[in-house]
Amino acid sequence: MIPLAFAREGTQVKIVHVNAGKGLTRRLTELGIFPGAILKVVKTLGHGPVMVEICNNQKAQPSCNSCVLGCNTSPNGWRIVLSFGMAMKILVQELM
Amino acid sequence: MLFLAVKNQNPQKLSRKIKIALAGNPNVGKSVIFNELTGGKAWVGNWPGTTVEKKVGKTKIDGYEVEVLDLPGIYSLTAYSLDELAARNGIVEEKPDVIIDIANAANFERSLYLTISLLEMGTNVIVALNMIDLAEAQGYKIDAEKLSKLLGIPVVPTIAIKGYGIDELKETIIKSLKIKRIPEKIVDYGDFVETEIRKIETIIEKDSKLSKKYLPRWFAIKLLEGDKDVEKRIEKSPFADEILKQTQKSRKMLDQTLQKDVEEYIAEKRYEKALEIARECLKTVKTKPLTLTDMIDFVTTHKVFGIPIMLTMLYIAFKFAFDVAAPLCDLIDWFFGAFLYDLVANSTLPSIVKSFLGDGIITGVGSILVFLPNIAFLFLFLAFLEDIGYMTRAAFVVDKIMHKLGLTGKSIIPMILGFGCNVPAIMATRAIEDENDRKVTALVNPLMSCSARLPVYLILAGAFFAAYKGTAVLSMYVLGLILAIIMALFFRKLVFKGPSAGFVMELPPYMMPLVKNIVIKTWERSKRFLFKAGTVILLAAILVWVLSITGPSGYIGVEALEDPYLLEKSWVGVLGHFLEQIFSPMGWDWRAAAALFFGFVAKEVVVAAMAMLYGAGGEETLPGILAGLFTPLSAYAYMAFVLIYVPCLATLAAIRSELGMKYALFALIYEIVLAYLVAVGIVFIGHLLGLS
Repeated sequence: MIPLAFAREGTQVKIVHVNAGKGLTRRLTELGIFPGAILKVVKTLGHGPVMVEICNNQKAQPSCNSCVLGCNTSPNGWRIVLSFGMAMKILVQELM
Repeated sequence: MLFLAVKNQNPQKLSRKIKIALAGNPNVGKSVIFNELTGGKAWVGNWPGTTVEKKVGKTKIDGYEVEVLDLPGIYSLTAYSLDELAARNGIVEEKPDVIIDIANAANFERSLYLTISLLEMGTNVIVALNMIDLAEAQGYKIDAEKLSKLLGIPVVPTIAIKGYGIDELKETIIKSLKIKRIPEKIVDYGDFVETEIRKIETIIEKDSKLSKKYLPRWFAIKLLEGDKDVEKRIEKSPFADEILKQTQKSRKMLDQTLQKDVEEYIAEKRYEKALEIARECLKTVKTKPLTLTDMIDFVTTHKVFGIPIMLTMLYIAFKFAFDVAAPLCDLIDWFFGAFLYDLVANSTLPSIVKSFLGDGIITGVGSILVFLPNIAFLFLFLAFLEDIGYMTRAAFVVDKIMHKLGLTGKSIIPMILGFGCNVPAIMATRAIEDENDRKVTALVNPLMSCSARLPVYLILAGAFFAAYKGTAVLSMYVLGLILAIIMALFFRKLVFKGPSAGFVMELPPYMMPLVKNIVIKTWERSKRFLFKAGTVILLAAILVWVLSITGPSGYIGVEALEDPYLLEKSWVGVLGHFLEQIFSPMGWDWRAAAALFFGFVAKEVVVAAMAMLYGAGGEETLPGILAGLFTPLSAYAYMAFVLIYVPCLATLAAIRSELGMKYALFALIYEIVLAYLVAVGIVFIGHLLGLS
């Protein structure tokens, strides 16, 4: 388990834990960032912000293989940027 | 047919007034639909009790007079953010007949989350499925009919920026007036939660007044979520104690059974529902092609090129604002300075009227209006950068640097907007999640050199640094930026301590903005400048004029504005001489000192007041007169002082409404002190370097 801030560019990660206050956790959930969700790390800027893409279908197919499929066929082209500090609060597991 | 039949039976309904509201996530094309529906004409105000902007427009559809309410861009309907609360209260208080929920087809499930939240409130919703072209370009389609069936409400596919689907949307609005939708359960929260919802709901239903105004189930869910605003609304109910007691019991019970926070659980369930519906409605999913946005992002968010690209964008913005607007400025200058002034001067009016019109109004207001083209073009370019989707990328690239300075990347957006005007910039700080980050960003924002200060720079730089005019003006912007950074670091270390919570932000795809939207945005902001010129600046100019021709000894005469010795005896003279002593290290003339005093109202007034006090007009241009009274060094110190000293009244009001009176006073004081120190510093260093 590593903080999202340290995930490598181009990898897919699964969120394990979000270590934030109530309001923030809520806001992240609305954006699709919550334990179990799968993200693709699009870009990182060293010890800077992280750009992620949220993969679809993660709840339906939580296993790793299908999640990769889910991400490649993701219709969700919108990206989310998390500041470095925020990305440190999100613990993830690298999938590939 | 049924629709027609109903219409014929109720002919009086033809002239009925209805109210619709537009809801949607940020960046879904809400303002485009608003403009399509209303033709762009809007009344702008604030939502009651907040500083969140409220936009209202009017239109006619099928004989109905329709009031269109633009709700703030939101992701859900919690009480956590000002925007969301304002939107929710807007729905509750204004009771729109129909809510158009603009969903983004290209970001489908997130939009659905809001749709579900709206339906839970028990409102009459129509979904406008916008940007379907973008979704198709990304390789998938949404089954609108199926979506309509699943949600039980009308769904209209639209491509707002091409005007596609707008007519159908209008038809659907009218049709949906006829149908009374019975609120049903949208999300099933599972047996445990549902039982508790039911318990709370039953108590709420006992209060007929409450349950008539709000949907009891919605209130019950919100109470379980710990919604402070709903708790407040319940307070007055005779059953308030009973409701709150049950809520507490239910929450405690559920926290234990679910092994997690109820609030989190409810939000997750809602998101799951959104995902479920999204999955069912998506068709022909192809592999996502590399989009144009991907390609542009590769460059604009590049590790190395990102920041140079941002600086280039800003450089282009200013180049555009100055060079392209220059001929227009000359034209306005000629109109006021030569044409109108001479017209009045050569007329047969009494000399006091001539002076009032010529020296007071035309010189005062005219000297400001000259800069309208510059300001409008700057606003135009900033609106373009915003609408194309670039601003969020700028926030991404600078986050690392900003973080070191104690701010976040998101702070860059208000800072760039500050180059246009500090008032909307300070309002834009609302998007910053971390409270301390937000306060610091708002407090240093007045140091970002807004367009109102530009007239002062241009006049002085033109008079003293002719060959290096551009560089001298640019240096002011850089100085402001550097001071903002230093002060931010200082505030973060001493006043607003503690680590930043950071930020999350969506990156919308790049979009070719609609010319109409940019023009409307630019016009709305430039209008504020024009309005200011017509009201505050005009009044200030008249005040300066009156205080110049009268003094402690009474009426002096309009000759005072031509004769410096007479002017010294006026109120302005008294004030100027007093201030001159304070500014003696900088060696500013007493008239320049007096102009600073009036500049507190709005910084453009400094130029207006100088033009009047130095007797500019006709043959004598202001830069020409100033050349003999300042040295380049004292002029530069004066420019710096104008940059920093006191935010204008409107900016102070913005800080007050965003952060409170305490911070407004704080900003006022720290800026005066800082301005003085910097001005003295410039003169001191100048002398050391042997400049005079």
